[in-house]
Amino acid sequence: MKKCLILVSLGLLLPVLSANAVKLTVKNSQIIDIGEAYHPLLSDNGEKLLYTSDNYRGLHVLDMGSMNSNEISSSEGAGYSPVINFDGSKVYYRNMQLDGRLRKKNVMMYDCIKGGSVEVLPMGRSDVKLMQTAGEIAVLNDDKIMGDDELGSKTSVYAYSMHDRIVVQTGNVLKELNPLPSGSRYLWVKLSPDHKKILFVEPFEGVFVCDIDGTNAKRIAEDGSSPSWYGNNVVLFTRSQDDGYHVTASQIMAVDVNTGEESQLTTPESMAEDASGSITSGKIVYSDANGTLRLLEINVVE
Amino acid sequence: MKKILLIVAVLMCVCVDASAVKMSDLKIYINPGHGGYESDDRNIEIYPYEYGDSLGYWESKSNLYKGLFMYHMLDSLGATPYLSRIKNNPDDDRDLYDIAEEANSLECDLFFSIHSNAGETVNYPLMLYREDAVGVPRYPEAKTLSDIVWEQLHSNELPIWTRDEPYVSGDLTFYPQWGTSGLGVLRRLYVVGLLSEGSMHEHRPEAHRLMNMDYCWLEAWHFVKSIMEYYDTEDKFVTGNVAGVVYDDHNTRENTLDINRYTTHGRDVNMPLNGATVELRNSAGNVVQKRTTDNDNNGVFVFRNVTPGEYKVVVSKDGYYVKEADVTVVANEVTYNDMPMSLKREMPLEIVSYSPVPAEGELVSCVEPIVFNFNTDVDETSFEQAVTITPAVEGSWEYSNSYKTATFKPKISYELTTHYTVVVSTDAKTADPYYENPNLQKEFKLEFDTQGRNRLELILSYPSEGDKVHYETPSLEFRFDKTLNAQNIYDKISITDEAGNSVGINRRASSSNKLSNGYGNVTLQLSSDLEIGKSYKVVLSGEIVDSEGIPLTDDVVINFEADDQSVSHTGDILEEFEDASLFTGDESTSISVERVPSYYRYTSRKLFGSASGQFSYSFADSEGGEAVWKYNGGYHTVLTGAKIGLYVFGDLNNHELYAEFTSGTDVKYIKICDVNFLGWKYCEASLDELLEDFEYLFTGIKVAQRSALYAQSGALYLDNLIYDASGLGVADNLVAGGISVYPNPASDEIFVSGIDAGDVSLMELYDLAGSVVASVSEGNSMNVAEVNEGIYVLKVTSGENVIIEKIIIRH
Repeated sequence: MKKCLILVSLGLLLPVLSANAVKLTVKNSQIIDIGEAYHPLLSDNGEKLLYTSDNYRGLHVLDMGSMNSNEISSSEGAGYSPVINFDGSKVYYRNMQLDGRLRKKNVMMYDCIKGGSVEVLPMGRSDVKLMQTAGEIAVLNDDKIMGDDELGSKTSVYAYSMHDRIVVQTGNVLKELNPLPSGSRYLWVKLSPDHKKILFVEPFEGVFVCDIDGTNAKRIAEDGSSPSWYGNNVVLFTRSQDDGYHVTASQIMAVDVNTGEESQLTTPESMAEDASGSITSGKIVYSDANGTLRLLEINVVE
Repeated sequence: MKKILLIVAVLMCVCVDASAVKMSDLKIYINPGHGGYESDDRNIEIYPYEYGDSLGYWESKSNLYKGLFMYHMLDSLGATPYLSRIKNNPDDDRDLYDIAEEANSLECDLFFSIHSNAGETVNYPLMLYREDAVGVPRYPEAKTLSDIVWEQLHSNELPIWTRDEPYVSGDLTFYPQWGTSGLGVLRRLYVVGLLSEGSMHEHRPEAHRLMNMDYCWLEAWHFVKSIMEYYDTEDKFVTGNVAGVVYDDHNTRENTLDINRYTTHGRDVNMPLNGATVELRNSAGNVVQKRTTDNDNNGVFVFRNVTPGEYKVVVSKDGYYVKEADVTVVANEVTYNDMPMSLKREMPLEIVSYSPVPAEGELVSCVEPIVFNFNTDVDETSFEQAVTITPAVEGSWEYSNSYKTATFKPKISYELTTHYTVVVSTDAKTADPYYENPNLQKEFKLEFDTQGRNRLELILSYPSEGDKVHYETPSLEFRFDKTLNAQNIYDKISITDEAGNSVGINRRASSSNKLSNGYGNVTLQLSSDLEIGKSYKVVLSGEIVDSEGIPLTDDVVINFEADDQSVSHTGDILEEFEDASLFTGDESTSISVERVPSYYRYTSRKLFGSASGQFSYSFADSEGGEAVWKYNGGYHTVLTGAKIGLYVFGDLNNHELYAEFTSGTDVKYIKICDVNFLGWKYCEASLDELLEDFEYLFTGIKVAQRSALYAQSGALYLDNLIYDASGLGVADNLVAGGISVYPNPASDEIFVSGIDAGDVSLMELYDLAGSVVASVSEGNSMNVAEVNEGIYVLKVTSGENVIIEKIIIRH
């Protein structure tokens, strides 16, 4: 993967000079006109898009070619952190319900080709993670990767946050990492597509990447939320400002994990959040606070 | 979570119910709001800390204390708690979105965001939950939880609450200005959650309490109890708590709280005691817990997790009598018992200073307060029973400086020129309830004589009773014999219509105390037109006082009627006051003026056309002045027996307005009116003073100063000047040397008799502006059929004789 430096603001090309710079331009910026939609997630090949509502109720899948949308679920919590495999054919998601005011959830698998969902895990209160790495997806139940090939690759490597810790799991072998000093917390833990780096947010320290073994932790942004990989060298994230009560500004940033150079993909006034990209297709999708989805088509120039 | 500071292990017990939720089932996320003395933190100034002092009050700090206490209580109960932060550095001000994500990721059952609210004069909890749309909770359970938490916090008796009605709201409803985004930490949650604004930290006594660890602990305890109630957990607190406030039972907190700036309610008026030792003793007399009230001026104590039973609370502090109270501790409850403490004065009462202290022969104002300063705080009940004022006067005592100062203010005033004697008997005593000799040791006497004025007098008003006031946004004015205390003066005057509806006052355009020589006034500009023909009423409150505090005493009621002063009147318009150069201030004929009178064309105050004439004057002394303006317009002839009328906008200065008329060397000033009104008024005057058979020309305006002292300068505005000759009773024949002119009034033709037609060399008809409107060079008649109606002057020339007669043309 070539090192990329993204510096795009609302479709305007802002070239950045760097020794290893790769120039990215936005070929197009457009609204995805599907009504109110939040928390978008692109499949790695860029052909399918998952989206939900502001409150994570319900889950839809959009075919980025035909722009046809199908409802996967209308359930509570279905839109919270689902995963989709490389070609967008399979989705794992959960349903949440309050039972005696206690929170319970199950796990469902949706087949995007045949349509329809099947329950993978019944309603319960066990720890469940839906994991995704380089287009491979799996379900983790109480520290164990579930099932057979139907439920995802058991043999791949995954990294995730469990109780604010980083866990790297290869098969059923767990390894807890502490790349930062004791007492640190780890949110939004994500493994790079080449399985070499781990992306995470330490809420008091910023956005970091470290090696797969937890060494070489490097801060790539002072603050940020909802980070995601765009290839192996660029991270997208949301940078927001607030007054302690409500968010007053929010924008999508990109950062070169090798040089640490940041660029704005949107302005602070855009109230943009939750960017998801597919370097395979050269697309980035994000939503804003009003539920408008935008698609950026990225052109990479040597 | 390794950085969590373990403070207290709370003792719990479990009553088993197989179907019930256990605390150990629960994951609770705690978010102490704000963080780290940063820009979005909320810092306020409280005694003795300056604004910005990190030792003072910061919301982030009390939020964190509550959160830490809540964490440890939940942890001790077996629940799984999480904290969004455990420190209070600038880096601890976390992104709102990642706080929500952490709670989501941890699969928590509940989310508590802990805050306090702004609001200085009030104090109450407010619970906020997430809405999907205005009025639509994202989770109905979040509203249920909010209701429970509100009730729990409101049951805390340490604060003084100013609202008893639950205050629970969705975030979109509460913050409509934020559109659909609402509260940042709640928006992205998919966990049942709330944001608690536990109390008002801008309310200073509450801020002092929020500095106290026990107080924050107690709020956390109520949060946890709310969770138990929400889930109806089988776990309950098997211990109870005892809480209260230690405060001085008499002295106020004036030294630690600016009472003129900040609000206090209930016992928050009293001085909380720092450094008091508070012991909880069991029935055997053993101390089971001990507290020392902190130095942050709140007096709060809480005995935590006390085994149920009977106890005694014992409070001691240097300089105070020991206080004891029996309390019963009940499991899962808080027993509240405030501890008001009596200060040891241990000295007799002394009057250390007093007033008034008039010099020999000096008279005291009829509203002068009587003030006593004591060596310590006085017991107000015994003092008021011990003091007598002779002759009796109605009034009340007020106390300040923590009851070390007593001040008597007469309700209205003392009597005029009266000798008063104030006696304080030895029954007056200090507020010490236990000292054996607290009384004043010797009777005290104070005497003074009052002045000869004890009422504020209304000496002039417009309107006065029964006046008619021009309806267009009129001005009203009330003048008094002394400069007013203008504070809230507009609130002490009401204007109502016949139905009792209030008439608005334009306060920005109104004014007060604009008079000279020590007189007071208030001028009210009404904010809307009045209704012509309707009656109105002005009431001046008896509470209006002058600069010394001497009151008007009784309400003054003035009824008036709105009318239209701009209606036209019979006669011809001699002058419309439209031009800027019509008048010139005449320095030579003006008397005792401070400067030459001025004249301006004035467009913003007029009745007709596009302008009126402004006549401004300023007299040098308080009486005897005259301001004269010379007229530069056309020749306007008037005759005796006719009338003139003038539209005048008065200034209420009570001076006299004259019109000047001149015939040859004879100058007559015709008085138009006394300017004892404000606003427009049509004023008429007879011209009978003018000499018969002489024509007079309008030549000027004069304002003659009366000896009234209110104002030496002012301005009048004049609009149309009307000449009304309709009442002249002109005869058909005017005779001059056997010559007569007829008919008069004429419609078609005028004839001159008594002179041969061949002897008439010229007949000319002049209008009152001096222009010739018709002329005949031969014959003794003139056709006037085409001449406009009006008053004219006919000039007949015969040889060396010239005959001039006024003629009225009517068709």
